[in-house]
Amino acid sequence: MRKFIKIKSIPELARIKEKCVFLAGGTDIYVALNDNMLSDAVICDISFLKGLDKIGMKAKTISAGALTNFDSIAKSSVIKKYANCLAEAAASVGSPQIRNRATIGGNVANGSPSGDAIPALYALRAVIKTNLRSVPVDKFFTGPKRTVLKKNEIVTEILLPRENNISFFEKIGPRKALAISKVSVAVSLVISGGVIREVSIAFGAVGPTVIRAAGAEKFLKGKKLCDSVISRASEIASGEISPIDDFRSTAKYRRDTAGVIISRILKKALL
Amino acid sequence: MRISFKINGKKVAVEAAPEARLLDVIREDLGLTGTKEGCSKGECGACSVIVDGKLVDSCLFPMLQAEGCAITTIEGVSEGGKLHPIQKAFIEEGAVQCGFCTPGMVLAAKVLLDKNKKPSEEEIKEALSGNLCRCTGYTKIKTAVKKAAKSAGRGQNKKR
Repeated sequence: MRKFIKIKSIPELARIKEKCVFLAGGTDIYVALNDNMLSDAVICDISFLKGLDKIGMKAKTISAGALTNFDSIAKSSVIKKYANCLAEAAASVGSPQIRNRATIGGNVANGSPSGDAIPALYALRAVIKTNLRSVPVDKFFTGPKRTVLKKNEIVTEILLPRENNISFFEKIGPRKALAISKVSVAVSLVISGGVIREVSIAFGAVGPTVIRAAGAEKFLKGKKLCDSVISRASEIASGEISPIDDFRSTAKYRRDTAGVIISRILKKALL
Repeated sequence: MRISFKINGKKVAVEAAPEARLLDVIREDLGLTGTKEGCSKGECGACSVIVDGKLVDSCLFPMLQAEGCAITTIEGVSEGGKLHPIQKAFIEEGAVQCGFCTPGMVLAAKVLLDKNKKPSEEEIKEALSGNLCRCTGYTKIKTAVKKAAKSAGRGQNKKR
């Protein structure tokens, strides 16, 4: 028998004996429930937790509470300024209806390889805060829909470095709204004096978890962006991913498209 | 459990399971069958309603979270027996064929026009992007939304 409970404060988590499935905006959980899944689950509604839906800024960090929805993230001037690729990713999630409900914490905890926020969080070197600890984003995901979250541990906040970066996100799907990505890319760059000082490139939906293009990053660091550098970087990056053939797309299409998106994004950075 | 909220301006209290879908309570308990069930996955928007000013898919909305909310369904859009300008425009432009997507489309358009009196083509497309129509396509629907925006603008001018 399915059980449905709610908590109003974090300390209540420690008192729950059963292993819970956590509910915030419901845009993943209710799809499962409508499919008659989770029939024996204990579903714990965490949407009533206070103070977890705020976007904040400190001297060195930008933060977004786990219950912040994608509509708020997409429209936040702080996120647009310091984490533009995350704002772009948030604006691309689902539909207006979904963005009004789906939360960044839910996207992270659900851990889908095609979760739109996740490549942006990799590119921005985010830290995932839970009620128990802080985990760098690249140590958080262990496989498709698998994370390091233990029993009754929830994501509480996303922390991002406050730095002078430029960053972009793009995804390819069968249509603009409500399509699960075939491939998505987030790139973050710190450029000074025309030279790339820092760069991170993250791909979604082309591996069991989000993948960083370490070779392309290494190639780009210390270089000035120009057409030949961009085309070489896209070649290296598309060789670093391990896409599969599945019902959404083919490996070849994903690999070719990944290269195209990378060069498109780097050309934007050139402007 | 007993859950109280406002629907189309009227206070109601229903006895419902906390995990019950808002969609089912609206249709079955309150008998407001204008809200439609399409895909049950949040992909078609046929079940769209407005909760505290925001457009949501009621098939993905837990009753537990409806406590204290103000909800508008398609039945709450007309006022005093008079059609809303969006509804009028949909009829005049033939933006309705089978009608199954229409309640969701009208509510999506309402959320847009409530905030943005002169939306661009892009803004209209974006606002309707969570609602699928499988009959006519979207041209007549977009034309209707543009017409509604214009007629609402005229209405305001008259008042001044």
